[in-house]
Amino acid sequence: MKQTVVSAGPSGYVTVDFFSGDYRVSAQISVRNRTVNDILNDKRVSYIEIFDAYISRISQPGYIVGSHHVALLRKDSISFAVVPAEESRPSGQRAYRYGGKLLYQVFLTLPALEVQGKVRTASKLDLYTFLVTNVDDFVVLTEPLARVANFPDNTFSGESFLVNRLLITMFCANDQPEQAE
Amino acid sequence: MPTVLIIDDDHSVLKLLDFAMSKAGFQVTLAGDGSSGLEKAQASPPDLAIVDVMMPDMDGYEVCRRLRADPRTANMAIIILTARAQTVDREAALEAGADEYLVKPVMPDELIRLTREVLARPRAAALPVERPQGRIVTVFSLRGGIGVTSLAVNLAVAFALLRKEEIVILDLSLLAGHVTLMLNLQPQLTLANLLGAEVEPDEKALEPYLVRHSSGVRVLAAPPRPMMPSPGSGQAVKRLTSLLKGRFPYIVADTASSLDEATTTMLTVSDLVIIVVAAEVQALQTTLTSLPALAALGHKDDNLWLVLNQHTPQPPLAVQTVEQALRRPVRAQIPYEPALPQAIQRGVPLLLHKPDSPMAAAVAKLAYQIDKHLEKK
Repeated sequence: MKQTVVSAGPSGYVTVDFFSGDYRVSAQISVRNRTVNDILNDKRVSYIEIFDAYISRISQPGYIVGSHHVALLRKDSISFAVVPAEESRPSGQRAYRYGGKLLYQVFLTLPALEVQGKVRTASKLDLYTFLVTNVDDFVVLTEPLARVANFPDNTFSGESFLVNRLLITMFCANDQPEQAE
Repeated sequence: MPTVLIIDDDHSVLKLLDFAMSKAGFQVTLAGDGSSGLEKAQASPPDLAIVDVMMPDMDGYEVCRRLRADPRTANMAIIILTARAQTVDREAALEAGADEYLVKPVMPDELIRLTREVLARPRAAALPVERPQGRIVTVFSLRGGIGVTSLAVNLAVAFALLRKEEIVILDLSLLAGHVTLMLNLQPQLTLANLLGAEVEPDEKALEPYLVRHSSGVRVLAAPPRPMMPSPGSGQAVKRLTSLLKGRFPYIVADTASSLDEATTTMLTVSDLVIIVVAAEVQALQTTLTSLPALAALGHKDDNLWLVLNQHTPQPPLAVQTVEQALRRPVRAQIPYEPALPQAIQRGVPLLLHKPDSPMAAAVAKLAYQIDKHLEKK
């Protein structure tokens, strides 16, 4: 018999860990029929409305310094968001651009953070295209791990990261891709 | 049947876990926020608590820390259930005192398996967390009908308001206790069941006897029918007060107008005795004869407080006359309050019924003075 899962939030909401500057914000966002990828990459809205926001400093990321029922986050200040795999992909017509069977191991830096993970592409990874001419502001990283530069013991992981391309200060990739299943 | 308390602000989670865990054979209690979860855990400590982290009034780590700091709940098993899934979150949960940590979304079966596993682990009998022992204040007079119970009830409410903690009132008027009447409570279990019990109750067994009033006062009620104190009731009172002292900062005792075994024991174990006197000749005479008996119990003068209760609008004697006759100062005067009979009839303590009345102010001041006095000791 199929069991109902004890979910992380009300139906239609997804719990996301946002990293913005020196802060970690665990909150819920309303996705309805979209995904977190859709919402972060929606260029018509520069803010994201979050609910039940629990704030920690990235120097002490397990310690909650404050909580608020409602808050707004500036999308351009979000370094990356930790999301479930199904929320990292776009829905609808944008989905076709996220296919591909090549997985490139990458290393990138964001303000105060260093991040490693894998980028999926359909053809050879072109750093310029990926970083400069990409249409989406938030790019997907799988098998990700982030480390706080000043507190290297503080690491963050998850199924997927959505990384703010515009805040990437350095982007490195391996030459040889792996074949995705 | 193992008892499990689930604390989560998401009602759909509470509903789902209530169903799944009850079906799995657990006795489930639910709480929708951290504060009420703490209250429920302290009132009736469960075998295990499942605590969400992201809750608005108090986060789950704080709930966990407070449970561990309280001797009543220090030893219970705790599972943190949260959507915060980082390694640091697991560390934070364990640091706060959780036994296990589980990330949402989770299947109920997985949670049930972990609950059973945690409950099967050996646990220490008790953690060495000490709480300061509570103080016993007994309100007494050999002269009946001069407002002893009314003063005891309002004093207990005043302590609860002052300390912002639960206070217990023990109704030792075994022949005709009126504390529950004044608080409009209907107890199912009373002192009759405890004083006659052959088995010594422990803290957990005592819990159902402590009837809760919204003011923060818990009542250990007198029997519904007159009961003669049985031989050995003094020992029972000693055991009870010893248990209650470990749990409440104040125990207020309302005593019978006699020196039976239970009352005498209560007076003996008290930290402070309030001798209620009325400004009338009969009350003076009764008090004068009872003072040597109280002194014989070993109380020093500074722990025997004379309180003049003006239970009629125009008392026949002046306060100076009372002091001269009894050769001791009146520590507090409780003025006459015409609204008191109405408050009693409604079952609402005067401190809540008419908090701005002179009588309410006098009782609150008396509670404050006692608190300061006993704090110094």
